[in-house]
Amino acid sequence: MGKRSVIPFGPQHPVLPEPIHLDLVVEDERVVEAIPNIGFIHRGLEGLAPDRDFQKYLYVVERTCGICSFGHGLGYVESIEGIMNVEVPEKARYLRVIWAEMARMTSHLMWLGFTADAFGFESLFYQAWRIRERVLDLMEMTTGGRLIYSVLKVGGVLRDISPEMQKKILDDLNEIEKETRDMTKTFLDDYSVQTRLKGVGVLTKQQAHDVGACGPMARASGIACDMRMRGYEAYADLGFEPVVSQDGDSYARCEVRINEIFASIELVRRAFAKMPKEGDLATAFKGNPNGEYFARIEQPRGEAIFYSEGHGKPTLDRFRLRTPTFANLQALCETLKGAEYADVPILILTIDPCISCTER
Amino acid sequence: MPEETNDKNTIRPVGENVIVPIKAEELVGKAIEMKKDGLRLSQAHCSWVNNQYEVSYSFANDETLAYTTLRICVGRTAELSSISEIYPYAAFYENEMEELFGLKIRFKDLDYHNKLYRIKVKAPFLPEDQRDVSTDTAQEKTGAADAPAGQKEDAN
Repeated sequence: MGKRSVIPFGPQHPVLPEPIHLDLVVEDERVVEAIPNIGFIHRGLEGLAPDRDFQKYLYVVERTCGICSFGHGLGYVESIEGIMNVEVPEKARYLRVIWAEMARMTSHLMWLGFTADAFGFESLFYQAWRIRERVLDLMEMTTGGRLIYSVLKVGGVLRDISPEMQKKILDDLNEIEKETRDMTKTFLDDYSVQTRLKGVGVLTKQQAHDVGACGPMARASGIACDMRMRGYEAYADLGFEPVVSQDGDSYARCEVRINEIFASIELVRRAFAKMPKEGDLATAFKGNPNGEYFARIEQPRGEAIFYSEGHGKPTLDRFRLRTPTFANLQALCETLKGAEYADVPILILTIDPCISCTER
Repeated sequence: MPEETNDKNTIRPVGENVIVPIKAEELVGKAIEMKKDGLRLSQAHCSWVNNQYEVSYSFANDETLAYTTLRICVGRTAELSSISEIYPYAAFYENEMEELFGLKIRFKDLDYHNKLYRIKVKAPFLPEDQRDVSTDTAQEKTGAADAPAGQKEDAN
């Protein structure tokens, strides 16, 4: 048995977009155990819920994280609508799906860039973010913002997508899809990438279940669970099928996220095809939330839980946000066991960590 | 004996998911049942409502997408037993509950000793008049609070 030593990883590291600290117990270049430490960007956002009007608190929730902003807003308004039994108009539900899927595309393209950069594959990093810029331009055109959209409200949405915008989005998505396929084929077929990712950080289906993995982390290990299968918003009308792989290694996790980009493009097309041309954008309602509700949505990183509890006041008594990266931390520690020390940065990126969400 | 201040024995459906009130001493047994049924611990959180803790452990069925929440209502000085022996990743949620709300949870597999989020104020999500309520056990007073964060508990 070799000598064990504890090597600190983070909170500052070139591959980490946000601070997280891992104590890696290493024996002869292999990681034996990993203990995560967080708390570098905890802002206590949940503690602000009792101090803010529940409609204004949406703006706080959206700003939990810049990458997952739309999803946070969506989950929050769903939790309030669940308490107050507010029926969202059909057109608004389709608009929410369109924006959610475009936000998912920006998130996955950003993750692809970070992962490529971790390899030293900088040209693919630039290409991924260049394509992402096109999607961000479409988000800015339709919502007014690139990262924080503020286009949701309890009961519906604040903006519409005009027929001209719709045509531009569909035309651009055709080009984006083609460019993304060329780029991701290069990534997935590359010998160096396959050598670095295949068979690395394997998480079996049973292990993924035992550690509570969710999202692409779980689906890459064969667990076909995606919150969009619940059929919230307009997903029930769009014929959604989750993207699943069986290999459970880092390559499978990359494959799942890349294929989800194309699945999102297809969902946007279907949503535009089925969305009513006319219709209300929001439902008016009165009163304050009195009750509790768990809303579950599929963020780019996995299952996100939004719990709201109110007792008839304008402020909530409790808001709870359980983000997917918080759930996947244990899965990360499991994949690190037995891994080479040099593979640690890549393994961290294959869970697509969002520490702002984790700590809130 | 964990302190309880409420006695609810009815199932209250909330939308598509179900909240099942249980007693504090039933938590570990129910968690074992959930594990046997193949459910995943989805989240756990704590609220301070009506002068008591509302502790919720939510379990998800990844095949049927069903969602069940076990709800425990206990008083300020109560102590719960951790379920991290059954669901290892429950330790993260329980450390969070302890640090943000001051809820005492015993036998956690991984204990950050109130340094998960490194917050200076003790139990910041509790009302101010509740934060100074002493719940220190004799063991804590001997110096466990000085242990490094992320300390794994001994098997003994």
